[in-house]
Amino acid sequence: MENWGEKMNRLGKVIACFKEVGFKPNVDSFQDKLVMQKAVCLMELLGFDTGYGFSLYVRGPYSPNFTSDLYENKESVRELRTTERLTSEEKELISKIHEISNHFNPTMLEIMATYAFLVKKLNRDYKSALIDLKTLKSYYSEADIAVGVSRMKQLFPPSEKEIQEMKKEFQAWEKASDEDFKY
Amino acid sequence: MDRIFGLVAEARALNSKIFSLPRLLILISLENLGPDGASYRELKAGLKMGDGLLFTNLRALKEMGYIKESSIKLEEKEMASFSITNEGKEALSLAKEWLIKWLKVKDGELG
Repeated sequence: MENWGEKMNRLGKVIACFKEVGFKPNVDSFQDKLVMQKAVCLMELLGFDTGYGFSLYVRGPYSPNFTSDLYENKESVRELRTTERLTSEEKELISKIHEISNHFNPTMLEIMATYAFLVKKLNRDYKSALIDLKTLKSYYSEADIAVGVSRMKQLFPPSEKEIQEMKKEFQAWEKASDEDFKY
Repeated sequence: MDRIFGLVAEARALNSKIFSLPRLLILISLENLGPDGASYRELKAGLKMGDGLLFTNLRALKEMGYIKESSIKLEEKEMASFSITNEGKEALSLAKEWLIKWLKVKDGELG
């Protein structure tokens, strides 16, 4: 059972992140709650330990614990009240998410967080993750999905394993191209 | 044989109207989303239901008082959102408990 202090600490860090990028959320707004959920999910996936666990629901990645903290501390969230400080890495991370998502654009954040969750947390390959993303977020246009997916890839640089897989995939093409040049 | 009598007796406390796959799926999906709920389009995409099926079952659950509808605004668009009520949580929990009891009964014990 967590105590109030522990809860406030983890929420305080998140509030500090919103403060850093100048986002003043309203806990009674559906859109602001969506933005907060998806931004915090991306932070978690990028290695920032917020202390909130995310799972996949009909709404995409979502944390009921985070929702409960938000409802219990509406005023602190609205007024961006926190004593927590961010490290320079954490500041850089949240600024990057803010910038790449078009200043917390809800559509971008939803697509980016859902796709990132499928790939990074559920270990789906890019292709099957895209199929699931298009099912779960079928109400977004192909163009929005394409931009969101590309933004997510900008946010998460490929891992060494992914680079090796890409090299392997392109090897055959390079070989064929070399063969062409011989003639 | 006494097991079946037990299950029958406990089934009287349940609302049989929620024992349909779409209704159970809607309630289960909304259960963990608490007061936030989900928008109509999220339910439609996430549950892979057509408009007719989803709309009819949302209306039935709303009439039973198990879910409530609110109007939300997202990126300047007005849309409907649904969340589970305390009555809905209670009915779902009773149904879940009953199903667990039934599953725990070994083959042949209901004969």
